[in-house]
Amino acid sequence: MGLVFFLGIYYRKSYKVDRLYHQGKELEKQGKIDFEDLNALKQALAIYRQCSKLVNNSKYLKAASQCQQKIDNRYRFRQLLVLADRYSQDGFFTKALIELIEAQQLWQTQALTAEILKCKSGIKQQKQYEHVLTQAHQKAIEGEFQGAIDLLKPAIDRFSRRDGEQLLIKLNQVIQSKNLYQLGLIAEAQGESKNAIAFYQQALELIPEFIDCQLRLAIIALQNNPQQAINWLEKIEDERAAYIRGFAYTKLANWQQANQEWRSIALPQIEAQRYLLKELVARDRLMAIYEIEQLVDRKELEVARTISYKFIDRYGVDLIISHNLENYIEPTLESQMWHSKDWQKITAQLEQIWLKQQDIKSLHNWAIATYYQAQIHPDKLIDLIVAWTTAIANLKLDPTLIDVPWMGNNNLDLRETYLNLRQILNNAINLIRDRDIEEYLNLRDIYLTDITALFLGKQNQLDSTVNQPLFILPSCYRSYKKHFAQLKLSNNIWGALYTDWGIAVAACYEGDIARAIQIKPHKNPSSALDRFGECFVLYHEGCHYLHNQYWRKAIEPLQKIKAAINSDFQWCHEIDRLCKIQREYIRDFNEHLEFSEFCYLLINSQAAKSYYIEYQAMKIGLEIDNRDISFQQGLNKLKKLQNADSTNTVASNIIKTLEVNLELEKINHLWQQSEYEIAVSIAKKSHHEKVKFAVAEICLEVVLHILQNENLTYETIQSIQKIVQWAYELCPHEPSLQPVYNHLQQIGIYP
Amino acid sequence: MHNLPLPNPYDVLEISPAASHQEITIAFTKAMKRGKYSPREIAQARKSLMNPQERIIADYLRPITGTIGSFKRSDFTALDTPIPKLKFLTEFDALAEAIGDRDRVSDSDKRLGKLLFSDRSHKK
Repeated sequence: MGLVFFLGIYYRKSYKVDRLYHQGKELEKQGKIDFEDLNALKQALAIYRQCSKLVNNSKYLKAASQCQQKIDNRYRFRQLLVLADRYSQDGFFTKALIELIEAQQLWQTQALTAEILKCKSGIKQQKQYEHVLTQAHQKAIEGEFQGAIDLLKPAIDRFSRRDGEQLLIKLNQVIQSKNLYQLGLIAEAQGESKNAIAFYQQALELIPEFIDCQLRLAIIALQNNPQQAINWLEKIEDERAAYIRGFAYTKLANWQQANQEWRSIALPQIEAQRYLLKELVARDRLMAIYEIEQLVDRKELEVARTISYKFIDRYGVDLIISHNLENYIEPTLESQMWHSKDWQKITAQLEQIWLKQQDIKSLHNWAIATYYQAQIHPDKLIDLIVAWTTAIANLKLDPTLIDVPWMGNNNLDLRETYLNLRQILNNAINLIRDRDIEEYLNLRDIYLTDITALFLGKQNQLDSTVNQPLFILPSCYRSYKKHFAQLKLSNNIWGALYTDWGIAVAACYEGDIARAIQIKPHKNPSSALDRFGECFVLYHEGCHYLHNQYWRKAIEPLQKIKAAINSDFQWCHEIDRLCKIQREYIRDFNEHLEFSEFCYLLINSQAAKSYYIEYQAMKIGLEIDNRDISFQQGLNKLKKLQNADSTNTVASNIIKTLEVNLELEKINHLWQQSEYEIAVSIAKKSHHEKVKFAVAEICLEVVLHILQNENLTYETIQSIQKIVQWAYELCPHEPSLQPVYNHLQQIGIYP
Repeated sequence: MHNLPLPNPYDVLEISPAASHQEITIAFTKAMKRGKYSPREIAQARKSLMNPQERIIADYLRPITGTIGSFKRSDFTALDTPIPKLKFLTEFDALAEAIGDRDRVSDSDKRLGKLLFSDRSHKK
């Protein structure tokens, strides 16, 4: 039944689709009539696609594919016609014909056939044109510009095409430019340089590649503006251009560059000119030497020195010039400088020489100049400190102390000399103490920093690790930091002396912590060494306050360097020691609480921990006493505290007392509720003997009370025995209860 | 503020660092006669140079300067000869030739033609 029904539906559907397919076929036939009309084919394609969707039959798919192909062909046909038209219009008929023939293979029409005939006749003209164009182009390449024009112009008149037109335009521009160039040549020949320049420039505007114009412009410029001549010929690789450029350089007295330009020109005349160049160079060189001699004769030694160095730069080392510089000009100028007695000027000059040369000679001379300067200008004492300390730090290298002529075979005591020279500086600083104490202290700090750095450096042989021959001290380093960028500083106290914290570090090292606190910088460290310096100062500051029992002032510096303290055993140990001493001076309970917390959080040593837990336990005990918290709350707090230090006896004792009290409180409550057995059972389980004893004592007190006040029935005696048994189980060997047990035994009540 | 710094003893006595005790004594007398420095300064200079510890400081306080040598002179007779003159070579000017090239295809034209047109291929 179901199959019949299904088949019925299927056949009805097939019939309907087949009718649609035939409609499509009809439309396709209509489409054949007009090749340009795509609508009928498009509709037929839509129908075939609908059919193949409704019924899966290859017939419909094939019909759709064939219809699509027809549509594609129609599109291709249109495209070929458009292409052919474009080629024809541009004068490329051979290309147009290829497209038309392909189109004809798709659809033959009369119009198309006519178009093909028209195209074939165009091809003939095109070939004639192209032949002429090639000839004209060849002529243009060979420089026959007018010939090319004469050939090309009639051909373009017959057959116009863009490439030919463009070539003609360019050729006309060249002719125009050449005419302007000719006008320029005539003007130049007549001495009318201005006009000539204008013509050449106009010609260049038309044809920028016209090198001849540039050459002419450069030749004209040679007279008055040789540099302009060079500019005109920039990047022109041409013998003429090279010669003109070279000649322009000779006008600028740049013999070397002129020779460079002419070197590539292989002409005998040029060789002769290059020989003349050599003569001119030699003459110039001799003139420069003459000028130096004249300057020396006129006592203008500074100018003579400058010209001498310029001479060496230009012509290379010359024995006479170098000799005169080293043996006459420089020593004379040096001598004149020292004799001028203008110590500020001398110091400034020698400071620059020192910074440039950084050798022992320049350091020595600078230090000596600052020494004399400071005597006349005490406000320049800082210069003396900066130069003098570094100078005496390098005494063993100082030439004035090597092979001293009057000492003969005696050895120089370098240490003693060093101390004497140091004393000179010390005395100079001391001189201002009464006049300006602030300044005195500042200078003293700088001096002490240098001396400390020298001491530590020598002690640890750090001077040899410094990557330069001279030992530079902190004041000199800080004054001219950029000149000593190569100085390698180690991350220790010595290195820290070279930082902005250096002066305070030195004060700490010398034990003057109060001064260090006063002068320490108030800024953030910017390097690891800065941080080390800051830590060193803050550590000493903190220790200083702890030592003087100002523990609250120690909080800020020490907390700031907590990590550094805990990573240094000695620092940690010292602070722990000072905290123990400070603790002895505290009387107030609350201050103990605060101080113990500070110590515990700072160093976390066993002593600090015990101290902290002890006072925290006592605080909890007080809170319980004051009923601020319950026994249980107190016990919880204490047990938490005990986790940090289980061996703390103060905490343990308080915990024990609290536990006893809590258990007794519970037992008492049960006793009141007549839950005697439970109460006794709790007492038996207790870890505290005190609880057991207390309950045993109560039991015995109850028994004695009954024995005194009640008639003893059998039940009473049984109860008494039970209670005595509880007491005995709780405390069988407690000495204080033994007399009671004995008494009860005597009256026949056995535990 | 001082007007003058303490002078170096060697400068006061006008002697070299190699001077012997005898030379110092002689120089002391001469300096007194010269009167350039006060008798106190001269006496102090002598005293300093007679004491090895103080003398070494005086040595140190001297600047390290080079010795002034002789100034060597050069021969400038070559400067008396006339200055050689460089003339612009006419073959590199060629103005007349360029004017003459107007009606014929010159090398310059060939170079320009090659430069302007050789890289352009007209399409067929």
